[in-house]
Order: sequence, then C-alpha cells, then structure tokens
Amino acid sequence: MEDTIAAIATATGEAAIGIVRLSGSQARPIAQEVFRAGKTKKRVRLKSHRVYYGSIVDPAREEPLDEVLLTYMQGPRSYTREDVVEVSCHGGPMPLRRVLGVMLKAGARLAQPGEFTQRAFRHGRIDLAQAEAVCDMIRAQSDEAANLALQQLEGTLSREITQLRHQLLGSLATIEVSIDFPDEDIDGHAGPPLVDDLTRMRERLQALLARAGEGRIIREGIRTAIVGKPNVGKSSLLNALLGQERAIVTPIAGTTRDLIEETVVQGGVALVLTDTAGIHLTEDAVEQEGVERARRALESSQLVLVVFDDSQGLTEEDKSLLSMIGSRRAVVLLNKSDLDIKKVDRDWLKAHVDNVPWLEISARTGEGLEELQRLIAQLFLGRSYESSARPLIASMRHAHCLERAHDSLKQALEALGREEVADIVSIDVREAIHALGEITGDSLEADIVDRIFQDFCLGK
Amino acid sequence: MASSDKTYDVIVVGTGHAGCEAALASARMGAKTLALTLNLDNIALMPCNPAIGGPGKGHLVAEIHALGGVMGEIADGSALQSRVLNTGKGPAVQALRVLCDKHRYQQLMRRRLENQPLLDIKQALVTEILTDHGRVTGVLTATGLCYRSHAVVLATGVYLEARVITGEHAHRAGPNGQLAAGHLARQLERLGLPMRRFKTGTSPRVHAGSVDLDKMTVQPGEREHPGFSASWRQTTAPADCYLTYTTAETHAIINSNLHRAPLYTGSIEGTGPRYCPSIEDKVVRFHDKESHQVFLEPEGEFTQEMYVLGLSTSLPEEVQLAMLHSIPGCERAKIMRPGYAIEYDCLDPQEMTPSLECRSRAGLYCAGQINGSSGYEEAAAQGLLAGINAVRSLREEEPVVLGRDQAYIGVLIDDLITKGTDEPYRMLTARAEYRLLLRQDNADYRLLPLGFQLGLVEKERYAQFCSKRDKVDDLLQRLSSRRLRDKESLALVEAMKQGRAHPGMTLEEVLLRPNVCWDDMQRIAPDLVGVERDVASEVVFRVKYRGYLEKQERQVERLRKLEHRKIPQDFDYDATKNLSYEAREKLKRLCPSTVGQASRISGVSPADVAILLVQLDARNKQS
Repeated sequence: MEDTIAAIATATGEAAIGIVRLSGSQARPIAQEVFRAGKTKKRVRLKSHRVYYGSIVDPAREEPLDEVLLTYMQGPRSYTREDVVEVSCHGGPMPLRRVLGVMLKAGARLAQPGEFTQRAFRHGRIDLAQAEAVCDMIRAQSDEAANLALQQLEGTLSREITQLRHQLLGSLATIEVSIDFPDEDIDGHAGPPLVDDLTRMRERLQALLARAGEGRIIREGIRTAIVGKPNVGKSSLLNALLGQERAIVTPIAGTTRDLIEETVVQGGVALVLTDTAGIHLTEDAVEQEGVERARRALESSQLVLVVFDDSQGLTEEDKSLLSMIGSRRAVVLLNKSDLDIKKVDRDWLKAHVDNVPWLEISARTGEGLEELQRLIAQLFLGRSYESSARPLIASMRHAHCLERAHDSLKQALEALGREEVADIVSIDVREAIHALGEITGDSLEADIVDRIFQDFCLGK
Repeated sequence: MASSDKTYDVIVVGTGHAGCEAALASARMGAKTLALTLNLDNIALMPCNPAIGGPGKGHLVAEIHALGGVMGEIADGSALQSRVLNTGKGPAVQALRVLCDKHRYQQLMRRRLENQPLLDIKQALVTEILTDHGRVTGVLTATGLCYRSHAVVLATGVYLEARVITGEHAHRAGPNGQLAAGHLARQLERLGLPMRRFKTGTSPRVHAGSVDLDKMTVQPGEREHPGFSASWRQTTAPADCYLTYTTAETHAIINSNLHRAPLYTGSIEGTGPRYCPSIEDKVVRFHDKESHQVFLEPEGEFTQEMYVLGLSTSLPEEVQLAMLHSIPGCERAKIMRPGYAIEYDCLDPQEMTPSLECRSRAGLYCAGQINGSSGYEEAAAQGLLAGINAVRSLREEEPVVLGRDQAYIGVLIDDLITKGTDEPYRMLTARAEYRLLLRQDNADYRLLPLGFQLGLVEKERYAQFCSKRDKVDDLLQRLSSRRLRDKESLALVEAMKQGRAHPGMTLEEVLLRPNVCWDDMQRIAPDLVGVERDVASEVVFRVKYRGYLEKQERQVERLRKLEHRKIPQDFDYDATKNLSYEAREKLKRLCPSTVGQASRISGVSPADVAILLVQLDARNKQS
C-alpha cells in the first residue's frame, strides 16, 4: 500500500457539512489517533463500514476541535480500494482545516490535486477513456491550484518566501562547502553564525505562519456569536451589521436549524455571524434545547459580541453571560445608546470585565458600528493590520509547507544545540529548503551546486 | 578493409581510468575483451593532480571497490600519502584521499590489464565505429585493421579533437603531448550524436630541488588508516605535501597579463568547470580575496616533479614562471612542465540510457569524459558500469542501474543522463539527496553482494563481508537486549554524566546518549572489548544516528516507488494529451526509463508525473 493522503473532499464554504478524507495504509491508525468516541471521549478501535459519532481532538492537548461523524472503510471495499476514513464535520472551512491539520500532524500527507481519484483509478478496473478523463481532471485541478497559488503568492509574500529560501541556500552552501572542499580556507563551519542565521530565519517563518493564521481569518471569517438575553437588540444588531455593508457574502445555511449564520465582510475582515436566538437561563424543557445549542455556538466561536440593553441596567442573567465568554475574544456592546438612558453600571463593568472592551452602540441608528469594526480588526489582526491589507497566506498547502520549513529549522537548531556534526545539521536545513521550494516550485539539488560556486572561490 | 582474425564480445576504446575498469570488468565477467589505446605507456595516466579520493570522489572509489572494480586497490598500492578528510563533519561525509605515485599507479594498472585472462591490449588509433542497421559491429583503426565485436565502450577521455593551449600557443594534441583523435570525433558527429566542447586545465609542475619547502607549511599524511581496500599496507614513510599562498604580487602579474590569457582573449571556446577554475579566473572573479592556497604535491617516488595544486593556468609559460616566483618558497622554482588548458569534444550524456548505452546506437556504450564528466573517479565509476552493462546486454540480461539512494555512482549517472551538464561534471556530496545512507564505509553493504553476484567480487571477500554483517546484527541484538542491573555498571553510567542511570536500562540506551563513545561502552560491558573495529563503528553509527537514518529512509521510500515504475521505450507521449507541452517535448527527447527519472527532468511537474502514472496503469490493464 502507498503512503496515506488526506484532503478536504468537499468544496470549501458551500456545504453545510464538509468531509475530510484519508486514504492509505495508515488511514485507520491516524484516525484512531485523533478521534474520540461519543460522550466517553475515549479512543476506539475502528471497525470497517461503521459510522461513529464523536469528536476530533488535537491529541497534543486533547482539545476537541469539532463534533463529527466518522466512517472507516477497509480496503478494497472503499472508493480508492485502500483503507479510507471519512470524517463529516461542520461545514465551515475553519473546522475542516483544523481537522485536516491534526491528521497531517498525525502522519498523513496532504494529497496532490486529483490524487484520490488517481488512486481509485490505479487500484480499480477502468478503461482508457476513463483514464483520459482522470488525466484531464488532474491537469485541470493542478492548473487551478497553480493559478490560485500564483494569486496568493503575489507581492510581498512571494518575495519574502523567495528571499528566505535564498538565504537558507546560502547557509546550506556554507555547510556544503566545508564538506565538499575541506582543503579550502573557508570558514564554513556549523559555528555560532549559522545558529544566528537559522534562528533569524526561523523567526521570520514564525512571523509568516502567524500571518498565515491571519490570512485564514480574512478568507474564512471570524466565527462570531451575538449573545444576550431576549430583547436586548441582538437581531437588530445582526440586521444592522448585514444591512450596513455593501459586500454581503452568500448566506451559509446554519449547521443547526435554530441558528442563523451570515457572513459579512467588514473592512477586510469577514465575520461569520451567529444569532443565538436568545440565551437565557430557563427551566423550560423545550427552551432548554435551544439554549444548549446557543451555548454550543458560543463555544465554537472566536469572537463573542455580548449585548446589554443600556436602557435597562444589568441583571444577574446578564452578568452570568460574561462568565461564559471564557478566554474568547469579546466585545461588550451597550445597545440602545440612541435612547440616552445609561443604566448599565460602568463602574461595575470596569471592576469585573477589565479585559473586555466595551462600546456604546445603537443597532437602530448604526451609531458606534464603525468603531466596532475597528475594534474587531484590532483584536484579531493587531497593530500589523494596516500594513497587511494584502492577501495573506490563505492556501492550506502553503501554510503546511511553511510549517514544515519551520519545524525543520527548529530541528536543525536543536541538532546544533546538541553539537551534532555539519552533515547532520544539513539534513534538516535541506528539508526546510525543500519545503519552501514546494511553494516556489524550485528544486534544491541544482540550486545548491550553483550557489556553492557563486558564493565561494574554490578549486585546485 | 583488412579484417583481424578475431571477433570480440566487447571492445574498449581508451585505457584511461574509465577504459581500464570497463575492460577489466568485461573480461572478468567472462567476455572476450579487447582494449585499444593510443599509447601503451599511458595506461591509467593521471594527467592532472596525483590524488584519488576526497569527499564524493572517495565515496565513488569505495563503491567501485565494493562492486569489484580495481581503482581502490591500485590507489592503495601506489600511495605516497593518505588522509581521511571531514572527520569532524559527520560519519557519512568522511572520505579518504590517497596521494599516489603516478608512475607506480600506471605500472600496477598495466600489470593488472596484461595479466587478465580474456583481455587483449593493443596500441591503435581508432578512426571509426562500425555500425550496421543502428547496431555497433566493431571498430576500424588508423592502420586499416577492423575488429568485430558485439559492443563497444567508448572511453576516449579528452582526446576527441583535443587542442592544448598555453598562452598564444595552441596545437592539436591530447594531454602530455599525446595524439589527438580527430577522425573518431567527426564520425560520431556523422552518426548524428550531438557534440559539445568542454575545457579543462592543469597546473605547472616544478622540480622539487628548485623550491624552498621550509618556507611552506607541512601537510603530513596519516600513518595508519584502513585504505580503500583491505589489502592496504603502508610500506614506506608517508610523503609530505606543502602549503603556501599566492601574494599581491602574483595577482598583479596575473592582472597585467590578462590580455594574454586564452580564457579572456576568446581563443578558448569550450566551457570550463567552475570547481576547477584557473588561477586567472579566481583572481578576476574573487578580486577581494588577497591570497589563494597553493599546495605542492610529490608526483612519485622516482621523480623530483611536484604538482602545484591551485595554480591551474593557461597563461603564457613565462607568465607562469613569474607567477610562481612571486609565491613564498617558489622564488627560484624551475618549471618542468607548464600548465595548459585543453579543449575537447564530448557527447551530450542525455543521449545515453541509464545503462550508459547510446540510445540511437545499440551496443555503443560511453564512459568518462566523453559523457561530460571530469575526474579520475567519476570516469572509473562509469567505466565499470559501462563494462558490466555491455556484457550483460550481450547476454540479454537486465542492465545494472544503481539508484540515487543506493550509490554515488547512481547519482552520477542519473545526473548526467537525466539533467545533462553544462560544464565538466564533478561529483560533490552536495549532489546526493540521501547522503547519510551513502557512507564510504558502508559501500560494502550497499554494493558488495551485487559485485559478488556479477562475478566481480571473489567468494572469500564476500564471505568476509557476510561474517561482518552477521556480527553487526548480532551486536545490535546484544546491545538492545542486555539490561544493566548491577550497581557497578550503573555507577559507571552515572559517572559519564550523560543523564541518570536507571536499573534495567539497555546498553543500547546508554550508547544512544550524546557523547557516549565505544570506549565508554567497553568500560561498562567488558565483553565488548573483543569486537572488531569495523563492526563496532557500524553498530555505533546505526544506534547513534537511528533517528536521522529513519528520516532519510522515509524520504527515500517515495522515490523508490516512482523508480520502480518502468516506462516502456515505445511509450507514446504524443498520445498523452494532458501532459504539458514542455514536459512532453522533454520526455520525448530524453525517453526516461522510469517514472522516477522522468520526475527529475526539469519542466516535468508533479501533475505530469501523476498523468504518466495513470496512463501507464491504463496501458498495463489493457494488456
């Protein structure tokens, strides 16, 4: 059997349910590593052709990423005729990518365009006409990926990656020269300068990766929950946010019936808004279910907009909402500022929620909404926001390559720390250059030899 | 034309380092072989510096030796000095370099060839390769004699249309005043083989009595080391080499004579190697560098001639002399032979298959500089493989093709035939992706069983290898199963200060710790004292570098899968519409024999590779 590949099998951003698919000899062990069954939250030994309910976790922290349905199909009774695992997640691109992310960490490789079909084809019976179709698909998908990659690699980012790779080649050339030309009087040893260089480049990769996170936020939107007890003006706020913006993105059907999801682009930042239909404490069994769902929406959100009615003052129920925010980023909105009745106790707010900014708004008049946008952008993109208005690293493939390059440099630095010999250090440096080369489409072997002769005066 | 009475299986044209290995391999595999040389006194000539080995190159020699080639033994037998390089840079890049007595090297090789059963040696200038319907049938010599054979190995070195240049003087000749081979070059052209023109060069040689070695730094050789072959014995005291430097004056002399340098006057057309630049090139390109190293190396026991390494040049002879006189220790140097540049014709190696057979002429094999490579070791490696494959093809056996993960020889040949080369190609360890797997001291693991299978490695040597392999396995087993429980051993482990000792830990766990060496291990477990050195070092390497070895193995795994997918030579790329235009054109021209090789051609993208795989599957399922 071949190595195990993984990819998101559904088109991004369109479906309510998304599927992440694994195929290959390690599909089952990888799935077992990241899947926890039902309520027990335990690892299970997956049986073929069964559907499991549970969650995908990041095994490093046992932190649940998404609630899923998982199916394991042992080869050859599967689409590719290899062992296949399919994980149905909540539709948004974010959970899908996270789930894919942990699978890659657990040992799967990101599939090439068309690779599942290619495997299906290679392991199955198929005629030449079908082969032609498969090839057309591979061509089309890879051309599309290449075009996308080019678009995403415009400008500063492309320059940054090319430059990083160029500098890494320089570091590698220094190592290689010391190995291939031991007689030359060149300081090409794995001494402190190399450590400094690699550390600097690792930091730059880290910064790029941080921006990769931002890029994802920009492309996929910040999952935003609007919470508050009934009649504080949540729906008006939702409408205000939606109505005010020119660029309303396609509405995404909610993953649960009672939750309405809308995506709205606010000055470069997309918000995936969820109206939680009123969280309030209740004994009523029917309402309990709705509230439970709202709580879940809140839990999976990255931003919480807590709405209070400034004309009413804070109740115990309002106050308990604040405790549900947890470590999530949040903004407290004191709505109905147009009524000019400031009943909410500002001193109490200052004393109890000092880490959450608050803002007076009027959902009805639109007062304060611009300020809200600015605040959100700042919360998620930090000060760098102004300068990074360009498209950031939005491609999963690119982010994955950058991560690999970063990890390789980390390992190279660790090797240097253990005083490993130059040849050993070079293995990880090479790997990092390879990873960056996958983005830029350059191969290492030709470049390194050129670089050696370009940088150093050598020869008998 | 007059026909000689004899028909051969294989004819080898040229007896340089490629030709010698090709002829010996062929004859030793049982094929009737003829080796033709321009001059019997120049068998295995080293026209450049007298060293064999070094990083990448020493690896090649070890591999040649493991396969049953002779370069390693002959280098050992003629050694004046030897050094293991890169000892502090990693076990896989450590490399032996042997400075040879040039004349003794030639004598030993000549004796080897002359005493080889089934091998005839003759002095003759080959003027034509005889072919019939695209198949080689023999060769024709300048004296009008024709020799018939099933295969011909061309190992003509730099002799095709060779032109030697020193300053304003240029004349048709091979190295050291040899004949140049003109007819053959023109005939190859007529056969439709694309030719190219390369250039290389060498340094002046000086008389040892005319230089003041006391003014230089001594570079002594090592007294004890294993050599390339097991038969190594250091018989005489090792010779010394000497290091000195060019000065500002040297550079001034060069700069004021650039108008007389053939490199800059346009009289040299060929492409020279970047790793072996002339001193004028170094001074011009790296003008900030205040001085360059110059090594003086003895050329042999019975001569006073010394090679001036680092001073390769084609400047006029009187400028060479002035240059030398500006170098400390060489103030009164007398030149015995001036340095020169040499231009020569060679073939585009992309015309060759992985077995080194010419794609358009069945039975015509090429090895060495004719394939665009440079260096004695690179030539010998190709010669050996070309010889082996020539014999295998006439027996209708599969060619021997070594993988990039298997040998530097594999990297060398794959680079040449897949990527081609724009300059004389020299092996560098940087060219190998899986360097950690390709150690000089595991060449036996990688290739000796194959050498034995081919009939080039004697039974006794193979048995010795098997015994070493068993001992290594056994020792690995012992280390992983032996647990330390007694207080004394554990105290010894603690004393190493490489982490706590815990009862029940295995010897392997101790060895895995950084800075724990084999001597330490012997103190903890005295029964390890008797273990042979080569067995111990193999085991230490495998334990210490396990993590990195596994990492490289994983990288290799994907390559192997593609490498195992063969592409039939009649594969119709035009019928595969989805290939990109560039990929299709290159694939059609290079006819890669595996998908792995195809994937390394520039312009062939991963999508093209995927499409190839699908089409190959479809084809297989049809048939």
